[in-house]
Amino acid sequence: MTPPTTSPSPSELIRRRHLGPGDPVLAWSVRLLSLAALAAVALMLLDTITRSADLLQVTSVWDFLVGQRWAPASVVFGALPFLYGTLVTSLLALVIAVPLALGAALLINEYLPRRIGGPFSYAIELLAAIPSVVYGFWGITVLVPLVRPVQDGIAGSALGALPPFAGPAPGPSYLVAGVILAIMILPIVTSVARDSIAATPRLQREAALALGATHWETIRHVVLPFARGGVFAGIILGLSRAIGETIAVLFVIGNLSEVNASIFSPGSTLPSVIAAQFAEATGAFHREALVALGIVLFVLSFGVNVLARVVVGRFERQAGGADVR
Amino acid sequence: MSADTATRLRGTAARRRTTDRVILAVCALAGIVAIIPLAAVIGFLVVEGLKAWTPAFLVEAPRGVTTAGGGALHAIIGTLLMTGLALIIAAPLGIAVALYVVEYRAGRLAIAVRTAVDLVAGIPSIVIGLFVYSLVVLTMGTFSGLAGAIALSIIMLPIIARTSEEMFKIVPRRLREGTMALGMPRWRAVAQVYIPTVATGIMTGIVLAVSRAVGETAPLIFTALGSNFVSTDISRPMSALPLYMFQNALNIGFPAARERAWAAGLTLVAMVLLFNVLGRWLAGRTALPTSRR
Amino acid sequence: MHLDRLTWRPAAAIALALGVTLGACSSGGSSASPTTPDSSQAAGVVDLDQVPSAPDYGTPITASGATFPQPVYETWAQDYANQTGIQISYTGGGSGQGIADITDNVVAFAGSDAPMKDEERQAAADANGTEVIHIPTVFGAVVMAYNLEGVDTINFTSDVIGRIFTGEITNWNDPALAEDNAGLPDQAITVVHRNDGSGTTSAFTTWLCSVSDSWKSALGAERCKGKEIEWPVGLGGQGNPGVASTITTTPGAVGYIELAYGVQNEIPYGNVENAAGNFIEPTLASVSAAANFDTIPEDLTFTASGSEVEDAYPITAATWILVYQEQDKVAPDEGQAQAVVHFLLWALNDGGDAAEGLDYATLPDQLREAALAKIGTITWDGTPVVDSLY
Repeated sequence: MTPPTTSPSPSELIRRRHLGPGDPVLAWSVRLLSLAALAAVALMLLDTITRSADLLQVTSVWDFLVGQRWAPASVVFGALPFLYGTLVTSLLALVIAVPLALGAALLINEYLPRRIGGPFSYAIELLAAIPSVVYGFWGITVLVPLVRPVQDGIAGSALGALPPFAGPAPGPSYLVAGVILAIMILPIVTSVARDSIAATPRLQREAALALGATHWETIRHVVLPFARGGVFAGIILGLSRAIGETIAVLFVIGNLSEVNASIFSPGSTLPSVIAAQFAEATGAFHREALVALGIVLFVLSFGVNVLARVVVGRFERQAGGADVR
Repeated sequence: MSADTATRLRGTAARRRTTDRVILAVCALAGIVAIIPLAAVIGFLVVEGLKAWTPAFLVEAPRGVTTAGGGALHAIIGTLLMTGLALIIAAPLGIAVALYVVEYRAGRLAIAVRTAVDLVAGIPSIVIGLFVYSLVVLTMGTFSGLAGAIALSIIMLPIIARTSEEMFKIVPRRLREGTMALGMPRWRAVAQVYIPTVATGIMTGIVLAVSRAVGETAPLIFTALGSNFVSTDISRPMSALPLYMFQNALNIGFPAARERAWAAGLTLVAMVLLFNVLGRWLAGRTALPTSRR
Repeated sequence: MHLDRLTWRPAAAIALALGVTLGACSSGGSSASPTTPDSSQAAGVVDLDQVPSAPDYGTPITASGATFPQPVYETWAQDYANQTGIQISYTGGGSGQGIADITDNVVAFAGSDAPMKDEERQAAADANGTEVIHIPTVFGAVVMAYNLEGVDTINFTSDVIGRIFTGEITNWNDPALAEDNAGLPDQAITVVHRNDGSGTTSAFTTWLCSVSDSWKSALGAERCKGKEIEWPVGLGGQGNPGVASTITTTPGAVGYIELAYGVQNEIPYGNVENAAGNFIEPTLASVSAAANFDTIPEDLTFTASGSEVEDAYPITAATWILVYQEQDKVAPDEGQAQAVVHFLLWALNDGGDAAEGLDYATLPDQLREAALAKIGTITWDGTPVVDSLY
């Protein structure tokens, strides 16, 4: 084959992988579309930031973040009640969901025969598919009436003397929101935990058994240390989901813009207050303040997601490249 | 070994066995407790939903949230229209982004795009609704089904992009090398070999994204707003099934609204589960060995 | 206003000619000379007590706003759509949402129980180049709804209400309540109020601020009334429906909602002491009694509560529809302006039965005439829209 002097050599062609007129079309259309996606994201961020920048006329960033009082009518905007609410509900959700998820993951992977374990894990993952409006509605019609006497009872008992359990407990509360969030993040944490438990090297497991370890001892000394990273990643993914959940929380948290020590007290989270107040925020700077809350929420979620990536990366390397995805 | 040691060892062995069994019981308990919410939610949904649900619910026009009677036809049409439009926007974009990141790996643009898509994945859906409100609704001067579709497409994009990216990544080397050996131009290789190979996987991503979009409420509140009439006009406000359920759920003091909320919930979950199960089934049929199963 | 009439007179002359022809066909009683500017009726020859035939308009119209009149607006919209084929979707959201949406011009009209404040009117006018006008539609009652088993009725004095909402009175068996009520149980009171920018809140707190010293001193004269309040105690609900559903699901709760919500959701509500010292039950009759006025301000906004009439319900509130005057500046096409104006005429003329069926009182005659005249001032390119309808 004698290539014409003006066209590139075969090796050049292979390197550039440009063998026809269609290639530039594909390359450019893909590039353009990706650029469009990038531009859209940048536009959204820019628009949000500029919209809320006006808020700096009435408050500083610090005052906004730590202010305890949210009173749009008096043009006072403090985000602390919502940061607090988001923190408390997410923490409660993790406290409830993580042990359950771990237990369920161990059950499915270690103890149940595949025939039962398969459908069982499928069922848990179905929980993730249920829309949050359904959870919210179920929460207010079924869960709140169920939990109200329990909350009342505890608040009225000796335990009620402690601040986290103090009354009054009208029904919607941080606790109920935490429970609903726990139900919603259970599938994610279980699924990721399952994956990392399943990825434990057989060799190590069999070695432990050969040494005479019981099943539980194998789990405790071999499986869990290996799965630690993945489980942690799952926890963080669950946290990320819990932070951003809007509609389900809106129904069951009572929408009070205050900080309250008791878990039986109503409250608000960052996304729930935005949903509740945005539509008719006509007062001075009210909309800007809510958009600013949106930015805080976004930064929080982003931070958690970055953390998840870092943790997964680190443990992926530690576990010798075991696939924990 | 002495009798003493033997006894002690036997005792320890017994203790270890007991611990083993206790842990099993604890895990079993955890598993049962984990499954109770699903049973409870689906159970109530089915029981209460069937009380209120009739086939007429799916085809009847609405009356108004505070008025008795009426069905969800407008909401179902709205969901289908907006999700369909969102899909048309998000699928090509998502696949293109994935293709770009995997095939044209070089360059800061690829990294920027990937980071941007990951960023979007982490934005709470209500914040996305706010974005689209100020970018689209205020510009158009009206709430609209189009704005709702755009909001949904932003939510769907990362799911489709990520799944497609994973799929393109695991196209076997042999296949790639084969296309090069045959002297295929890249666009041909992509169109005629890679995409068909991972088509099932991409479909899975698309179906899962649709399943997610069908259930979203928060981004529609500020964009599509909702409506009390049946309409196919996307330049005007539109209802959607989760939005319809939400508006009725806010009015549970009205017995009619409460019933409609349950019926809508049942319909919605049935739809979402259908898509979800479909997606998972497709994932199981992928031609390529994936990292899981 | 006078100058405006002079400038559109040439165009009006043509419209008037048409109007006279139509007027002759429809009914008697509509007469005017084409050259005399009539100051009692803003639109020359047309008789706004007769609803003209509906324009042909197929695009759905969006409206949002107060949940206070939502039951009646939804019913009106359905009846209107059945009669004329014009679809008007009223999606509620609260007076605050209505005001926000009309300012952003994303709805054709808005509902609000609180007249727009001066800053809000200015903002809307600045954004759209035309003024917002307020059209009163119906009167409703703000009732004190509660959740107590086995208690048929409660008598509330204004002082008691004020002290409940400041958090001073915390149990139903408080002596202040026992004064006017027998046998109230030992149950903690949970206050329920509005979360969102609410005209209902505005009506309620305007009244409360004027009659309850404890409320006024607790919040200060400035902050004791308005659409959004910094509530000392209580749970928040979204819209009238949100408060209603919170009350029904919380034992011992008390809150303020519109009468129709109480009736339709079967929530018990109490009698409230009025300025004349009587405990009045909120009914169509007692609301109508409160709705009579001697003088009507030019912009048709006023406070309806605190009436001194013997059997008037004290917490009565009017609700308005907000719409821009110069529709050509805000509406996408003339058809929408015509449809909106026609709907308003229809509502004020033919909507009374539906409203009263839901326990809303219709406007007394003088107010109704003024409202109709106001509708006649809505223009398209300088011409009143009503001219093109009749």
